[in-house]
Amino acid sequence: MLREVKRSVINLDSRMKLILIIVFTSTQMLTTSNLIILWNYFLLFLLFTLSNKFKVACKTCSVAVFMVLLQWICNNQSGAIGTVGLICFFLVRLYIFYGIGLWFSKTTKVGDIISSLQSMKLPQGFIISVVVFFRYMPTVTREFWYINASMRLRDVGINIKNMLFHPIRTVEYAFVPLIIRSMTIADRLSESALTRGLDLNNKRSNYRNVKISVADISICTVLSTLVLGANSLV
Amino acid sequence: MEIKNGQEKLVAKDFITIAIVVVLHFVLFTLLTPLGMIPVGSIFIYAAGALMWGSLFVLLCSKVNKKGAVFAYGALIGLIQIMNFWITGAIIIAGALIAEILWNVMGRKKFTSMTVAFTVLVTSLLLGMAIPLIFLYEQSMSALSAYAELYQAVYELIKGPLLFVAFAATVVCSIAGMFIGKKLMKKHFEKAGIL
Repeated sequence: MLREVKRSVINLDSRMKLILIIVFTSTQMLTTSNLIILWNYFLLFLLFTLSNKFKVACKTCSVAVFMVLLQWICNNQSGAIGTVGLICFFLVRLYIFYGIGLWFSKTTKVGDIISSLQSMKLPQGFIISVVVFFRYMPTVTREFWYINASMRLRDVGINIKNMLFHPIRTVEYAFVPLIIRSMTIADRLSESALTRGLDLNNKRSNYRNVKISVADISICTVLSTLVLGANSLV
Repeated sequence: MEIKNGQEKLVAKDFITIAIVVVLHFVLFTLLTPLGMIPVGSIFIYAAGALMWGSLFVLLCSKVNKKGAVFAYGALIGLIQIMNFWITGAIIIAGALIAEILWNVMGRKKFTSMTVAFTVLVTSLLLGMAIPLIFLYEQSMSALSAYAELYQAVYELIKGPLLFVAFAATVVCSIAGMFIGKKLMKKHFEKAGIL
């Protein structure tokens, strides 16, 4: 049974994944309850684990749990501690978008997304933008840490001291390499897209079946019900 | 360099660049999150963001100088905002459409037209936050109930003249952001050969 569920989650249709992204992200904005937030992260943890991404699940969800705990500790405090709590309150809600986007990009093949969205007769430009957006989101974070590591070697790293005493210089040193690196990656992706014939308007043929199955609908319905149901309970 | 008719249409390469610029837009916006924690900061967050987004916009307009680039950029931002509240997304998409028209009418190569388009786009982000709060208060509160306390305070502020101050600040910062972008373009991006 578990093996069946696992296989269905791994092969979940990308359209269903996009629906789950919308459900998870939207409900975070509706609740003030930390319990529901933790419940949503638990479901995300399950999704990662069932997709054989246990390490990423632990990393992603532990950050969220840490933020919830910090917010809980700093709750109803005044001054700087209260501000930290408020920042955690916001970040933990924004972070789910990153988390589920990471799950989407780690578990979905680019070809599958393109084929399934093309079968919905969506414009080519929209499809490419959506694919690149989710594919690039984890990359930009990694790139940012690489840049920050290089900056630290030259003592211009992003830290409180530099942000206070040299804010413009620090932002410029972080921001400019990030843009340049991103544009280089954009060029590489374009070359790859051109090689794969993404620019052509012909209908693509697929090795894999991109039809929505009963299992896809069931998983999406169960997860959406669990997210939305918990939200309406508290 | 003259763009041939056949190259006027946005192609896969352009959409990839646009999507990556949108990702960078959101990364920079996330850095401003602490500012959005306080009601006054929530109103001026777009003005602060404009100072950084200007560089991205100058780069986008220079790299993808084709019809539809500004609209695609704004529409993608709007589509993501729809997940928060659909009216906000709709206002941003409408703003992107106006920005695109102005950019095309005024001349896509001109810095002035880029500045006007960018100002319209950033202003639509501010309006996307303010209009639903003022005219659809109940729906906004239910759509963003997690932030009810914050938006209650923001609503009290934007009912008064502060909205006009924020509007003016957004316009000024958008123009300043474009000039910063132009300077950065000359100082770094052209030298790095990414154009």
